[in-house]
Amino acid sequence: MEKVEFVYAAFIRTTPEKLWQALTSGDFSEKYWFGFRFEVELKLGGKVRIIPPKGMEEHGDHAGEVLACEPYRKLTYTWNVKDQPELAKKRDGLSRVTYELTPMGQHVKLRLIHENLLPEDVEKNPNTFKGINNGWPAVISSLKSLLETGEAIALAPDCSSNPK
Amino acid sequence: MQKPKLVYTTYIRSTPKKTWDAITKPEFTRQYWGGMVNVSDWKKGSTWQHLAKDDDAWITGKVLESAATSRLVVTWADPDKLKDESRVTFEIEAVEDMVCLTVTHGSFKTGSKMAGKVARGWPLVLSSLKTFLETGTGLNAFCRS
Repeated sequence: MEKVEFVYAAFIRTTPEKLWQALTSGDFSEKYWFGFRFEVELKLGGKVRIIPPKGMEEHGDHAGEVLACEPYRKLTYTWNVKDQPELAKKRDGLSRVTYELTPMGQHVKLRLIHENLLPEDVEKNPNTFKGINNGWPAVISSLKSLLETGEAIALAPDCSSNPK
Repeated sequence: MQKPKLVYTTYIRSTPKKTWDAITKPEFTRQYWGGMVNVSDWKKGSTWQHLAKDDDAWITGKVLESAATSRLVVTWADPDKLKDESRVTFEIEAVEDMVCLTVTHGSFKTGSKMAGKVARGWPLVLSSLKTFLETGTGLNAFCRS
């Protein structure tokens, strides 16, 4: 079977401690994750919840669990998407998300790896935030802006309806 | 086997004009691209060069498409290995009060090592470009280790 993963890296003017806090704090996540709230119990087997904002409840609570937790360095969790049951049936287990934080002088390299994906998780149309490949760059771009400028970027949930 | 293709998308709080200028004008590129500059008149068919501080060309190529301020397509090769040519596309799209910048580097020749080299470089350059446009200074993270 075709192995699909999504890898993205961003260099952020911050410290590993601040980036870790930003990645794992529910209140902070709402600011850069377009209203979605990421909650995590920072221990092996800890619960992960990604709670959609009001008006987007159809996405469901993406509850997963922590597979690796090394504070300020690495977090891996399962990504349990509830709004695509037909894809869940095709997948061998859950997909997994890893954040790797590497300090580089005055910056931190954040590497994101989303593994065990299906071809259907990748969206060919670039003018949408649907699909792993469109969603993560928007979220990480917003996180980077928030840490560097104090302000996240604001995007409508789906820009596919925007006039070109 | 599918040939490697690198796609990097970033959202920047900026305008298409500022983003285009940041990519095509030396006075801006040197502020976020490790001191290097991109030089060309950016007309279709023209040569472009990616130069270090001492005017040593690291990368050279031709402009294949140039539609300021939305789309630029160039060929990309080490001047010492001109046959090992690949292709880079910059797409700049206004999204609300931001731009969505997508850089696609593909059409690598079979056996080319360029894909591996640029896979490390583009996230750094484009992270630095975003920081430069949003804060006025690029990332000082170009350690050549």
